[in-house]
Amino acid sequence: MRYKNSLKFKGGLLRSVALHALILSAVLVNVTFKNPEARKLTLPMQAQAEPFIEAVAITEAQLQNELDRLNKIEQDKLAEQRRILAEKERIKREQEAEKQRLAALKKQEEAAEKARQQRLVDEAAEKLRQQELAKNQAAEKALQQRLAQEQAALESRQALAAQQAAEEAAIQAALEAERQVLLAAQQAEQNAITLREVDRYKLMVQQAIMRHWLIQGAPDPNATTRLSVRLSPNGTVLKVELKSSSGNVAQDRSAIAAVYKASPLPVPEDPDVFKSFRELTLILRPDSIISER
Amino acid sequence: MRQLLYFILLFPILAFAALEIEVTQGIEAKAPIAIVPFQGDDQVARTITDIIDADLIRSGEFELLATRNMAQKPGVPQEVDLDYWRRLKMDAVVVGNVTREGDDKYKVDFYVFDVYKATEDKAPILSRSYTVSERQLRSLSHHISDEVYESLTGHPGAFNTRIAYVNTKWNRKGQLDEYRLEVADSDGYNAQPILVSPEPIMSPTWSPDGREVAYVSFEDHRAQVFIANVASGKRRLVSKEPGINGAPAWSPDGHRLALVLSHETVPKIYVLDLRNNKLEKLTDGWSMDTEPRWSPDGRFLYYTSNRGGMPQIYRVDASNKKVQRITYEGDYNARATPTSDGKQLIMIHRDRDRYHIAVQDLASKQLYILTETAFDQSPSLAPNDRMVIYSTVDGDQRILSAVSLDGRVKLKIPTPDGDVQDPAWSPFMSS
Repeated sequence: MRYKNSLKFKGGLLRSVALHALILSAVLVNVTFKNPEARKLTLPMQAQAEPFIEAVAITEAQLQNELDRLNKIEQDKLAEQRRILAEKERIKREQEAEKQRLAALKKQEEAAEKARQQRLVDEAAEKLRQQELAKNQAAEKALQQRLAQEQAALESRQALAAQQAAEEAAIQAALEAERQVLLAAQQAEQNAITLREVDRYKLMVQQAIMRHWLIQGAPDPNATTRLSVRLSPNGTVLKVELKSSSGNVAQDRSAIAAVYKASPLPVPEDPDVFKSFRELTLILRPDSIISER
Repeated sequence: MRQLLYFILLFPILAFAALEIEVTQGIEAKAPIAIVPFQGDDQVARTITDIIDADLIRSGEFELLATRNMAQKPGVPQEVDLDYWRRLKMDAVVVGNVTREGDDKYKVDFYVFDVYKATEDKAPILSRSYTVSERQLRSLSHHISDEVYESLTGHPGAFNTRIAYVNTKWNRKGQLDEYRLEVADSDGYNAQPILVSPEPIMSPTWSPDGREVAYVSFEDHRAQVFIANVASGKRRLVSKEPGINGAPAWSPDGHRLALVLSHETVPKIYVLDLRNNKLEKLTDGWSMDTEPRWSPDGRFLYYTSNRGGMPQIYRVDASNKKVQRITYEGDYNARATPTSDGKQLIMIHRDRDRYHIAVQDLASKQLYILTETAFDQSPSLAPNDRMVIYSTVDGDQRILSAVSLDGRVKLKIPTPDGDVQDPAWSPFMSS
């Protein structure tokens, strides 16, 4: 691109040099034309003075001759005069033509100069433009280059990343497999812990209710009160419902009261373990009673 | 691994099944309740509250919150703040109020709240209104106790009942003064004499309707059986056979009276039809038979006999007179009374020369001793089968005591000075 513009520029330069040479040669030719014209003007004036003195002392024949001769001289003189006039005319025309030609030439020259100036301006502008263009092209090229570099860098990075990802995926897959095994083991352990926790809290709930279960009279081990109990996550007794009566009003009442009095009941903090305690079925059956007396 | 997965998958299902927790032990304790002093007419309200308090304490099943510990004393349901009573760990709250409605007319309203049952609807489990005269206030108070008791235990109360007993009075010199057959409220108050005699009075027993008492009087120096109307005091003689006329017992239908008579041979069990005065001998033989008591269905009579050598409990079929021995434990069991469900028998049981009140389960034949005192006599069952009243020795005096049928509650019944014996608990009063 830049090379091409440079060629264009060179072409312009050559054309300019050629034009200058042409104008110079034109000026020189003009000068050589002037000198022959000045000699011609001098010549007619010498010929006019000589024939006038010789014509007076000559016979008739001679006169005739003389006359003829004089006529002839007159004739010649006239012709000469016509010739000079014509010459003058011609010179004048030539001068006029020359003047016109010079004017035209000058005009031409001016136009040429103007054109040259314009061309110079144009050329400068063009040069500037070319320079600008070149600069832009350079910048563009640099940008392109930079972009290309960046792209390349990016691509290489991406390639690297892809490779890394592949490696990572492989590792992850391996880890995941390992983790699944571990998780299963952990879950099993967690379940075991949960069951242990459930059992532990079952015992705690049992004890808490026991401490509040006030029994009047002899315990009847056949009297079974079944309650359904709803607990909040902090163990607060929300609702106690008599599912089946023991047949002993006082026992049913004291059983319900015991659950409310034991509120909040000890419940596991772990929400997963607590799930089992949200809804409880309580079976109250007095096998034995503790005497506080 | 697969098993593990199944476990993991199943676990949430297991976790969502309602957890069952079994509670098989409680604490032997009275039910904590609050009887808020009845509001309104001061004197009357206080009397009513005091009687209810005493009744429920006497039942042995309730621990009453002291009045001084009540920051709130509601008189009507709208004033009852259940949260407050719950904070005090009360099982139930009783509130009431008294309005004087005329010269001798009182309107008494009361409400029973089960503090926990009322969680949802805040409604009392019982609300009643009565209008009575001043004379009826004691009886009404006992009646309120009965209703409170039943609402909380499911068993009818036996506070609004009466007891008959014999009081032997001594003068200041320690000489016998007089014998008095008295009828008092179940709490021992309001004692009224039915008969005052210089000679012994024995074995009072209530008619099933609670209007009459049969007893043995030794006035005229011989044993005779009378039936007295409790309200009017009027009496009639029903048996004056030669020898022993003793231990009357009303049949459940009230038409017949079982008696112990010795006019034919030795003391034997007879049944006197009160409608036609026909006498029928139920037991035979040469053993001494005494203390008959009817089974609730009227088919059998339990009685004490020494036909096996030592006193034991037998029963005779009233229709075919077949006899069956009931007690085998120990060498002395006497004065049997069946519970109203016919499943248990209370009696006097001698254990190493000490006489105790005992109860025997008829199905299992298991016998339980209820008292620790040594000279317990004359057990009589409350009509709700919850308590047994009996006579025992306290210092140098015979007094009345009561024991719950499970032996856990024991209390003394306030009685007048003198030796108090032969108590008989009335049936439920219909009026």
